[in-house]
Amino acid sequence: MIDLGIAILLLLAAAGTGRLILDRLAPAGLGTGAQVLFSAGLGLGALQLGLLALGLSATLYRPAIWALTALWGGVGLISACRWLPGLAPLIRARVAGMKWYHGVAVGLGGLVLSMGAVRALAPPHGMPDPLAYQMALPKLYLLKHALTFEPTITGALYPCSMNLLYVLAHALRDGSLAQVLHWSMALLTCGAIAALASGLGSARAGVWGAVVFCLTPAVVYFSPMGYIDVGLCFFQLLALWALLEWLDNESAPHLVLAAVLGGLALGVKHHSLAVVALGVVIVIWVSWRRHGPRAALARGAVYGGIGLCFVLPWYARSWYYSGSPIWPLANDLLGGVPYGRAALGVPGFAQDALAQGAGAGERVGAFVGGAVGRLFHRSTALWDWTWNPRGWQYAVGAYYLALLPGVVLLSGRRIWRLVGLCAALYALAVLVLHANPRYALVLFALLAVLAGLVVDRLLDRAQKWVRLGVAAVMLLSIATSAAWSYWLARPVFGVATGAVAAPQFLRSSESTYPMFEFCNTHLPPSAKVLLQGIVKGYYCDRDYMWDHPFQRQLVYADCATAEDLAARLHELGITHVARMGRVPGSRVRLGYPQYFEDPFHEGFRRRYLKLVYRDRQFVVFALREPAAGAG
Amino acid sequence: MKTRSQNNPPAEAPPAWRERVVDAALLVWVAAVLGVYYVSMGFVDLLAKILGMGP
Repeated sequence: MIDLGIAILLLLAAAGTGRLILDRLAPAGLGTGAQVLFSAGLGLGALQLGLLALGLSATLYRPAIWALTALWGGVGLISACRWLPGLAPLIRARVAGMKWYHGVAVGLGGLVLSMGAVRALAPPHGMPDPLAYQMALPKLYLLKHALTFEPTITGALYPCSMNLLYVLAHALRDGSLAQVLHWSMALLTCGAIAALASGLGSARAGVWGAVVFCLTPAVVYFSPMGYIDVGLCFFQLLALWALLEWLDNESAPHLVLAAVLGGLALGVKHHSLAVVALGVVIVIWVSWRRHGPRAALARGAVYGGIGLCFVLPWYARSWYYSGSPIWPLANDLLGGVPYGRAALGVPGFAQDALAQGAGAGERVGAFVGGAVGRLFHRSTALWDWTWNPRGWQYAVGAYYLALLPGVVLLSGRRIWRLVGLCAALYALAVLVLHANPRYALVLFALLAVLAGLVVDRLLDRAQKWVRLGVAAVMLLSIATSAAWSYWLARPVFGVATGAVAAPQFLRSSESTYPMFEFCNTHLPPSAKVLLQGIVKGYYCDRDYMWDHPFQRQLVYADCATAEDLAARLHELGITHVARMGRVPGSRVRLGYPQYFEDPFHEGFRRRYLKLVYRDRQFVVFALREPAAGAG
Repeated sequence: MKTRSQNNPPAEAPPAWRERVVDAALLVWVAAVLGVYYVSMGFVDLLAKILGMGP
């Protein structure tokens, strides 16, 4: 519960700090909802930039983080106290126009979000990505007091401003606060959807839009975990929303605001390059038609240039450590520290062309041809995402398929602009970059706005049977979603409310926890652990590295003998080896050795490794000195 | 002389029957997609189970 309180204070402080920045940018004519949400995004962005400065200057110490947060939070809370109470009458006026079923929908949607909060309050466990990267890297940064380069961890040099908030969470509390911060991004995104739909239609449409988004299975499932995708969605949504505002006003402050928010989105993840690139095209295209080429190029340069300024420190960091600004993506094009998978991050259909060493024309042809081909591929179809999702990250639920045909009921230039933006985003993010729905949640946030407008329009029809039918179907489906969210949260009620202690919960819920609990209590602080067959290093409080097949720090094939491997491990500073007893077949197919069945690794183990810990799934070895092994 | 507005009268509202057909088609589509989805994916069973009415 303390985590929830801290998150609320941080959001209030973000809104307050951001409001001060928004006032400096001074875009006129923004609605109240837009002011609140843009302020929250700008405020969080300011905090992220402050943390980035600490990280780059190797001063990521707890006292420094606390001081920065206190300064930022103090200024923000004072500003918020002056400003936010004035919004109460506006909210009351919006609520006055609602009917009973809007209240029920808000209540059930709130229940879904509350169940998400309960899950977020549990200690991080389960899914691999947060425990391998998104929250594991922030813990390492805090351990090393800098944004260091971990060359064995995928994505170690990606822009990661959401992860900086997780550094803050770990400095203030623990991983649960990081999860709550990610969950709060879903809350903010719902607010942004409600405000955007409200501006395009009515507050009632905003309610339905927000409910549709917060019931999207991928959002329900991932938002309480330490991923970054809902945060990415929030910043991308703000960037696109600001762009839509600019299209209405075409004023310089609106363009700067859109560019700043685009830059903040770029800082979250490389995927925002698609959003900003789309923004540059829109700015140039619209300006060209209305004001000619000179103004168009100038505005495009301003928009893209400001956006890039926010991500340049990240690219510079990557270039400094690895020789490539976006390491290890497209490593074969840009060079950089070697990485196993040659064209990692280049869309799959382009990899063949790259691998064959085709010419530039053929590469472009393969790229475009592949994108068109994907239009008919099941992995990019809303139909398949609805009925046959390949895992939670593809699960978008049924509302989009059910409601989007109702767009025919909508009209108006701003609506069709939004429809066009969704189509362009789908083409760029899904067809070209082949992002799965989890990476392209902003598309679903925009579609939720349209879905909300459709529901509101159907509930506004003259025929009573239409109104009753739509209300009944919506409320029943929302109720079943609420039941599902309760079902997901039920296993963690005890630990979330404090009835069960976190270590006790983790010993039975997170397979790696007992092993790392041993490492944290029995290994010296200077120990460095090699993770073999394991990707989730989050609970290891000692320094560690992976040995996964794509990294090039430790290549077993380069070691001809056990002595070579021992020497290489000592060179890397490894003192202990944590190993998965039986590596799953999926990882073996990726290139992991099945260590206990591999003659080379077995020979090495007998000579150089001493068993110090064993449980049902994992073992920990101490590495003997090379001389001892030789003897 | 006719004014511009008389030359270009505003578009007439669609006839009521067409609006009803569109509404009915949309309602059927929305109900069918959501109904089939929430039943086939087990959400309804889950709700019944939580409410103590399930198998």
